[in-house]
Amino acid sequence: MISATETMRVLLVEDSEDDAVITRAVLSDIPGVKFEMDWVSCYEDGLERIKHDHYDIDLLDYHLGSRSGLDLLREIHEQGSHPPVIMLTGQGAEAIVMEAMRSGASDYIPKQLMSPESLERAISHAVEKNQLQKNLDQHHYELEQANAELLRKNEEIQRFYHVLAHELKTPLTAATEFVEIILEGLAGPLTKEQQEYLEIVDGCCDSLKQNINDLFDTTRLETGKLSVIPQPDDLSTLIPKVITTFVPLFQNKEVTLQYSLPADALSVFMDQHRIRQVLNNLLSNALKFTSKAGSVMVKVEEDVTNSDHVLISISDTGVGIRPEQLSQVFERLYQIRTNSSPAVAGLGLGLFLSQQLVKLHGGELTVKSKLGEGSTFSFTLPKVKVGESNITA
Amino acid sequence: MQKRILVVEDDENIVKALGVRLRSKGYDVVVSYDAVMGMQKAMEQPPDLILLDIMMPGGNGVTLAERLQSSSKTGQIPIIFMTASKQCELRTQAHALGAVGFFEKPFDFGELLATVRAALEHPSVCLVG
Repeated sequence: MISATETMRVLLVEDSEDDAVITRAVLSDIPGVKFEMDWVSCYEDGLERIKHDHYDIDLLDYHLGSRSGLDLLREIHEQGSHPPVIMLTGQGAEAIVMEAMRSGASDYIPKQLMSPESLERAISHAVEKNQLQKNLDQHHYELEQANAELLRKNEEIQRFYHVLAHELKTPLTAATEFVEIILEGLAGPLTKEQQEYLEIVDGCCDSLKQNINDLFDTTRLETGKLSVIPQPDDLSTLIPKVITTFVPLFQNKEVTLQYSLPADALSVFMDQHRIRQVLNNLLSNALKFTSKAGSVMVKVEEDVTNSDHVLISISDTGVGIRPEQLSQVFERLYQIRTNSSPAVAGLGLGLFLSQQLVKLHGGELTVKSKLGEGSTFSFTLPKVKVGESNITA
Repeated sequence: MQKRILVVEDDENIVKALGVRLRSKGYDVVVSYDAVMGMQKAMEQPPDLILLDIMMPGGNGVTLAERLQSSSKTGQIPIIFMTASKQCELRTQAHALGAVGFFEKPFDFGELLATVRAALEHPSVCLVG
């Protein structure tokens, strides 16, 4: 039902004067609403009125001399917003009706069936539909605005991260280096106590460095900007290199560190920098969760379940992981908590990043563990087959 | 003969730390805190190697490297880039410019020194991965 308390302005574009008279009469018979109807008889006058006057509804006859109401509808629709349009058609004009609805008409009435009831229903329907469309357009506009704002904010955050990275990393590089310079005696001899304290500072710098790198890698991973460039490379060179850097740390904690490699050279596709990062993370974790007199074993072997891959596993005799925690350890921000080592935390990004990095190599990182007995983290890397290295290297 | 290394880096602390390290290894170290001065110093007295920061106020290290490479006087000098940015494009750009090293801050000075030594001993080897 139309519930307009004010007068509704109607434009009728109709080439037959008789039909115009009838339409005016039908409108005046609609109860409860006052209509003020303007009538024009040709296409051009109709276009002019719709463009420059404000109507609540347009009634367009299909036949308008040499042109049609459908052409007029298309023209005003192309030009942007217009009042709701009701097409007035002859009987059996289904094709025209379909085309009119597709071109933006709100409703249609076969002239022969026009009555106060049918016209009221069509106007009511058209006005309501128009209002809904307006609301939808408004929501659409608001969403577009909100989206543009989000994109702008996101760009701002990316720029901020870029500056933040620079501002955190540069002073940390200098701090680490000066500590090293002093530790190496380049600035004069040190007492035992000074040496000990500086080594603590050095360790703190390392943790900071690790956290900053993990944080930025995670951001880059989530924005799709972290990429790996796997190249044919030798695992049997990388593994001993990484192990060597860990030996002093394991000795300090009195944890045994061993590794075993197959007799033949092991060529895999890897981004050495990134696989080193994965190995560092898994070895740090193994050391973190293994207590004095325990042991950690790094093993490289053929993947028995997939002969195209090599399997690298890091097993420890540490505290182990509860079965219910196993599925969560690779989640971002997950921190393994144990009763025996409440202080062992970290950002909770290391395993998440390691798994994602291995995935980017086309491999898989998994874990097996038994509480109180230890854990084994294993990952696979694609093997370089004979002849392949020459092509890709 | 003592090898001369030009360090172009806007952070005074990093410059100082690099200076201590490189001088302790017997290198002659020349310093510039921005790209313009870096270009000038490289032209005046071409060094044997350049350690070049990428993000500097008033000039990008990559642009400086391009200018150095296009000059016959400085085109053959090996360049090692240092940057706090993790943008992969930079590594690719550095590689395209024939850089002999690319170090992301916070970098390991030991590795940096090893690259410096290798580049000075075997100037034709490209070490960027």
